[in-house]
Amino acid sequence: MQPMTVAEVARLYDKRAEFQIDGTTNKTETDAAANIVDSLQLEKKARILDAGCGEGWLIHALSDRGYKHLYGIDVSAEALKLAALRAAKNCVVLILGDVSRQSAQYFDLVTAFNSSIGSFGAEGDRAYLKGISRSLSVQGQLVLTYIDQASAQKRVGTFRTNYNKTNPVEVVSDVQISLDGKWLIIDQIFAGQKIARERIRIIQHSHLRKLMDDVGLEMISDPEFMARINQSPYVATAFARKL
Amino acid sequence: MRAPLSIEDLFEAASAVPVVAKDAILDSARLDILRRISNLPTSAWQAGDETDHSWSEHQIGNDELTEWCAESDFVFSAMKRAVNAVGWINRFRQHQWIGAHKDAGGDLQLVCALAVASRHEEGAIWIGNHERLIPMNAGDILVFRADSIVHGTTNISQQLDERITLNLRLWL
Repeated sequence: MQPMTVAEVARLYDKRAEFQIDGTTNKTETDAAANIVDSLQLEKKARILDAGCGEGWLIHALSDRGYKHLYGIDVSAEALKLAALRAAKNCVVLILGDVSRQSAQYFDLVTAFNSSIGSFGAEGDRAYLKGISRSLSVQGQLVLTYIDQASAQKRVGTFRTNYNKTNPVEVVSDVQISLDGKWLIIDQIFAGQKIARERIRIIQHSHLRKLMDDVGLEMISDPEFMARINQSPYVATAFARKL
Repeated sequence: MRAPLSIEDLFEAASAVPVVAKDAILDSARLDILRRISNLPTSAWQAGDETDHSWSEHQIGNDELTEWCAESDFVFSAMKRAVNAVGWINRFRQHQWIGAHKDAGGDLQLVCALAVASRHEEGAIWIGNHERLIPMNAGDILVFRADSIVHGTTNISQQLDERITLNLRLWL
């Protein structure tokens, strides 16, 4: 199976953004992500980059919690436009582009919830993590979720979800694991419209650790902290620090 | 792995919050613009203000603006979306910066990074307050409401460092 290109991912998320999901359905997930950020006990003036910020739900939640320097980066212009429209005007900067091209050494924290890691193939994954690593200041932290074998198994099936309270959008998701066991394949129908197939590589923890080592990120195994943040059965969470 | 760019989307987003379009200027176009700049005579440059840390500024004449912008497809398309545009080049060298200010007029401003200092925190633009730097690489474009958001740049400490930007003020 072929990995996705950045342009493919951008088109996929542009298409999803067209349906203007209002965030009510994924609020629990967004709050859980914001709780993880809170648990890091950063100062409110910490510089936080949300890699793959999409429509800006996490940035929005973090600005509600008083964080003052929030940045979001995404390849989807449509999603970013929605993020801009709902962003707090005085604390958010958005970046349209590919995180693998970042190099600022500026951020105290990079968040990558529902990250794209795995979508771009081995070389793309390395470039993605390298971009994140370059974005972080020394000792800056990364929280990243990914799909491992256990979380992939829990995702398999066909699900119907009604997004939006006022103007419902029914989303039918058909999730499978490829025959070789290496990929999670997601087909979705938004309000009757089939959108492009998403392919996410299933990643082993040890492989991710190796990738992070290669790009100057130290994976942290603080059992107490990991127990607090590993609350979702649908993703695995990794926590790392820039060396 | 370039992200697709739509100027309409970018302008719509930037009307709400500052947006950086990464890699919006191709390297070849960026180098062509820098070549033009290096050919400017000394007399084409003016001090940006009257301080001892003043940067240098070159105002691009209206008759030349299209030619300058045409070096980059993206910048040219952005300029063409506007009903009116003015352009200028800023050049910052060691111990130079712009203090806090807002620009007069225009709906959106483009700051096209043509050359950046070796350390990201030097010669960087900040927006809103000094603690909010905008990380930019050469080739990136910042689009924002320069008439309503206070902004400035940080000092450059290194002797050989230089920050050069092509700036466009657009009336949409």
